[in-house]
Amino acid sequence: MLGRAASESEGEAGRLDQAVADIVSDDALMVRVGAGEEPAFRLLVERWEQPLFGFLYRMTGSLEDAMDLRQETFLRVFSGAARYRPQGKFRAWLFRIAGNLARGHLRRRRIVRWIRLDPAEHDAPSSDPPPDAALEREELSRRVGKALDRLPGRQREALVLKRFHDLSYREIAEVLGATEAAVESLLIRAAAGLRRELGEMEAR
Amino acid sequence: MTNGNEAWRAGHVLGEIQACVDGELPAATAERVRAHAAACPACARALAQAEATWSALAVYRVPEGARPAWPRLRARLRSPRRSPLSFATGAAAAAVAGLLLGLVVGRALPTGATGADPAETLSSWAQDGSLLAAGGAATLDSLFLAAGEASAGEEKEVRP
Repeated sequence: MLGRAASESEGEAGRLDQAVADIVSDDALMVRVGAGEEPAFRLLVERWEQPLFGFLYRMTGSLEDAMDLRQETFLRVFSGAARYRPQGKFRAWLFRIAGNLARGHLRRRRIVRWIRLDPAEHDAPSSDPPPDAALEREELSRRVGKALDRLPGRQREALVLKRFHDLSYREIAEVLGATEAAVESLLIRAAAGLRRELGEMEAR
Repeated sequence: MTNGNEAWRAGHVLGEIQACVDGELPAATAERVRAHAAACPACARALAQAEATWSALAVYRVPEGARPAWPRLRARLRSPRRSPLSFATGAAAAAVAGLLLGLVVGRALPTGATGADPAETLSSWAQDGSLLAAGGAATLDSLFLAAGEASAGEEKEVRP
């Protein structure tokens, strides 16, 4: 499947005019990816790499982990493309793959931390020393990251998908394999957990 | 935080506040919830609290510096190899398989002349990981040989 794609030159991605590429649906691209067309896969990757990275960073709090999981997600998209059924639900399918990988990763990481007695750490958003105002924003960001890190995986995932990626309850339900009522319940508990964690940090 | 009485008095919209804040309610229903909250301190507090929680998340930002995904992906697609995650999964599966193999094969071994049960020995090696760390099937074979030789040697010693 990949042989033909591999032989295609880098420049072939350019065959699809950008304006046209922007309006080609994810499903249409997936059909072509399923046929082994590397340029179509590249378009899909470039379209979704930022949202996917944002989601995985918010799930893991780690730049490197988010990039590794993003890579793994795209590889699974590629390998599953031939079986993909175009039903206009690519986004939910993509986040479902990424969410499963992220939750598995979080489980393994919790076990490793438990064994090592490591505290949860979030990557600093930037390696450069920030000015005072930015320092305060970074501190707030770090606190929110730590609070998110303490939420159970599914609550955290529902919250991130809703708040940062604007998925509907129905889409989140598809991602999590749950009902819409269960998603609402997860969000209520996630919000309560977040308030509690942030409140405790404030009190310290 | 609302107490039980407040929740009971305002319950008819408290249950809709999260969906309202999430933009999941039809416009007319959302308007009714907000109109109610405007006149009900308990619901107003719950609504403000829900909105404040979501607003607090706005400060959480994703760092810059993520490398573009495509170059690595292209390299992987053109030169397939096991990913670190797949490798971890594979290693875990191999560990479980090794443990089971150690237990099953170990139980099939005869008890040695000294009373030390080779099955227990192999199982304990498998459990503490030394069997796997020592190299899998080839090591398993050598352990069988070693166990057999040890038994034979012990038998020789007790022979007249």
